[in-house]
Amino acid sequence: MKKAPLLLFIALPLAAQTNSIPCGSNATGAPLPTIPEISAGSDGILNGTFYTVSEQVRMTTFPNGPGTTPVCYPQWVRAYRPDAPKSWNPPASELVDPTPGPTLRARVGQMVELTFLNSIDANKFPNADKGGCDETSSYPADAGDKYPDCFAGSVFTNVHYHGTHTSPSTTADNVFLNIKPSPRDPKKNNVPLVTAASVKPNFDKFFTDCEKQLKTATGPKIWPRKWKDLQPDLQKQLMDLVEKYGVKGWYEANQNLIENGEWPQYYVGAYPYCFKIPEYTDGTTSTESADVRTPHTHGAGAAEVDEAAAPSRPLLMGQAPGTHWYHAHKHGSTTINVLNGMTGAFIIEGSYDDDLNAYYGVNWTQKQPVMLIQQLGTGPSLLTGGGGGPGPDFSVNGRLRPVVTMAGNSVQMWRIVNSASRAGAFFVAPAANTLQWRQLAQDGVQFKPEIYGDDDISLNQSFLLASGNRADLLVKAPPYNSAQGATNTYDVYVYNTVDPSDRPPQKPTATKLTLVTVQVTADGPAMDFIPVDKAPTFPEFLSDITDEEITGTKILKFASSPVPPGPPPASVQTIDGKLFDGELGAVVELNRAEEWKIVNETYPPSTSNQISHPFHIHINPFQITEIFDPNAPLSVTPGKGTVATSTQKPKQGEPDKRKTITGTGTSFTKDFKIGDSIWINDPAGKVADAPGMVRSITSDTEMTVDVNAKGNLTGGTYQIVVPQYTIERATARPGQCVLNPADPQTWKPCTVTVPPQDRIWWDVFSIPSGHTFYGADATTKVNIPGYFKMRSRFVDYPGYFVLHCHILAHEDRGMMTVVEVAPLQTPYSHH
Amino acid sequence: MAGQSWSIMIKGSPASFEADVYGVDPGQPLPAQIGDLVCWNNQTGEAHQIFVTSGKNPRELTEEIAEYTSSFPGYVTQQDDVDSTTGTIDYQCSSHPEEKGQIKVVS
Repeated sequence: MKKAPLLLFIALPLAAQTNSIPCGSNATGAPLPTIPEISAGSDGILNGTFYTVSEQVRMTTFPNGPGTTPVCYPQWVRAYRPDAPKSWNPPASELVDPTPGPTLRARVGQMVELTFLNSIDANKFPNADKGGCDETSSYPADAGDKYPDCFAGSVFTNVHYHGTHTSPSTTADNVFLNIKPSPRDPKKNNVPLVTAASVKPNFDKFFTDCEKQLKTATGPKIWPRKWKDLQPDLQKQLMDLVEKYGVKGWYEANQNLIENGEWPQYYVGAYPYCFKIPEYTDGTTSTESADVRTPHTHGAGAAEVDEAAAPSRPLLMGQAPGTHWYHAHKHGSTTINVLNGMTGAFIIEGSYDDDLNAYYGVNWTQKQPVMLIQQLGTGPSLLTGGGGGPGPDFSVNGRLRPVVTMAGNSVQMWRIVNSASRAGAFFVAPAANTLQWRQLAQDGVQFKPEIYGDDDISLNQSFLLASGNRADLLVKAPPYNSAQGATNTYDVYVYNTVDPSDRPPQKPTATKLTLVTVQVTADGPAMDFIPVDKAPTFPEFLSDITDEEITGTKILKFASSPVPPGPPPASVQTIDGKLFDGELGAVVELNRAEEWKIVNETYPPSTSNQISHPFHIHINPFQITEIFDPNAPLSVTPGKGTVATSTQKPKQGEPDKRKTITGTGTSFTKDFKIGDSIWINDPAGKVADAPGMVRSITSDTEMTVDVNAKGNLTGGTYQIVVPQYTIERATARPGQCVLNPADPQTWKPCTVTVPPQDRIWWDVFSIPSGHTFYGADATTKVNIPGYFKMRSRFVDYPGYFVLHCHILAHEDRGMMTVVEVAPLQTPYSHH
Repeated sequence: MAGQSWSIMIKGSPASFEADVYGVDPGQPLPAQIGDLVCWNNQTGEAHQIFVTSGKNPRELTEEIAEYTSSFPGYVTQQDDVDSTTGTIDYQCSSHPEEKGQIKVVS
């Protein structure tokens, strides 16, 4: 009789179970990829098909924070592509590396004609077709968000041409469009029903009509202006798709808009974008001229149409040639689309390029690297119950820390776009004898030669690219050092930042991240920065906005406020106390220049850390005239001893973040004043997210601080951050400025913060965070907001567009409002 | 790292559940971490509804998923739904209880 085999039960260690995948050789340290382009042809038309698809990518994540080793997962994302995918149903076995959208390249004066297709396979993602907030088991309930100010319609999308000076309406830079993915036919292998071929006949006729209307127009002509400008067949095709496949209510909403003479908002599967990139040709530059201030209109209503249809005046501004970009901008899905990678560069060429090429060589600018910074991710963390944090590490052209190759002594022009949905990249000035750089342009607008030639502004300076900002940098490689061989490498460092408190000097312990690495090869022909006298000629229409031009002022107040009793991230994001509701937040008359004060009433720690909301306004760039940062530091010095113990002693009515700090070797009474900040470094190596604020000083070795640090701080070293502003005149240090808590008129900068002339143009600028000042009497407490003042010319194009925070989760959750530029006339202007 | 997003296809009749994920063979459970977002992509001509059977709180995870649509709301995986012996989140179709699937919880 055979014995049954003895079964041995051995306790085997469980294999580490993970669903991560190898990141592959392309993820980190690979050569900087060149992004595919859609370029204007010899006919002066940027013509192409713009596919929005779903694809599975090797997504990098950072469990230990930016700058650490990535962990990768296969993730389905939404993406912009210049070509049709190999398959409309890519198999699960297909995996690609993340790649930004195609680079668009055209010249001022040229036409843009793009067939936009939303071919996302919506079923790869949780059902977002309900017309309300995207829902999970934790969202939106836990965050308290309500439609429309929530993550919503995550597969619906559109395109915002960020930095363009064009019409904000109809088929141009219209961000009110909401384009649903094409339905798919399950009986035909699930292919999209709306295709390039299915819309081509009507779209081609439309593009032909659009060219006839706009191509030779020299003024700020808008076409189409009304729905009836479209040929009936195109109207029918677009509306039939909405009627048959749109979200319930879309068709009726479109019909109402059309009946009211407005442009329908909702589409399914396809949309034709057509607009002209305006080229400034006339000598009229000022909004001061009487002709300009009295546009040739005949009153309100239909008169506005007349003005736009046949403008009797030239452009007051043209498109600034430079590095612009585009991204998805459908309210509610902007964050998730941009996180997935739906961004790309839009290079608009002009005399700027001609002047650079005259110095560096034919078509030199077209051969220079385009660097698209992204923070790639699957979705906003709020959707799954998370929140806050610095977000993913920066990628450039879809790669982490890619390598740029330069010949020794050569110069490249880097067109850098920060298309991250959240964080700013603060570029650290290069060290001596390494790379050198000189900044040429900001936000797609070249520097005046006076600025370009000012070493204190442009040469080897640190600078911030907030989400949405761009910079053109001339970068010069050092000579090749043969003794170093393969180690002729130079890292370009940045800090992940949404506020100065995220980086030195306010945060001395912040982690420096490598954005790109430059590999220097053998020396090439010696090159240098273009001399100031040969630098690109500055366009006349970008002259400084003078005091005399200003015809109006406004104040807009941004705020992250806590939702009682919700802790962060349940903050509510508002402008002037309101969530976005589609109503007007600002009205400006066409062809006027105004000065606006953009205020930040975010007061930490009630809303987590300081937040410098990046303000962005569409269509027209602006100039900064004043900046007030109540959190600005005067100095940062190391403390003299160490923190010995920390005891959490919240008293009744005090925040639970208050700690009593004692120390050894210290001199708290000499070194600190009430209101100073203190960074305490956890001896275990952990660093607080935010500095503590000194609230009372008991003795040389004991004081009380409000501190966000977790855990035991015993043994930690510390830095003292002395603020530039104080409300205590009696104890103010030399160099500190005193703000009167009872007099808001004193809440302004005490030094000149912006030069009075030769100002830089921007389209995104971070608003300094607010600050809560406490008095030594333990009762005085005052919230003082940060702000900047900006001037803009609201010229050429009437219509509706938006301004918003460029932390896109804030925008989706309500920190956005509508601007109307209206060609209004008084009743007495009829003639 | 939690917070990833996954899609499970519902295919055939009777329906089976197939992770739409690189590296996961048909018939294998979807590997996911607690805190990940999961949706079901109904590729069949009939409606289904996902019901979690493991853990402390058996319940409907989704509304009825119409033919050729994806599930609503998105399901965020929870520790309370895990079968502590198998380490899986087990689910089935409410309308067709014989149609069963699993999410394998990983770290």
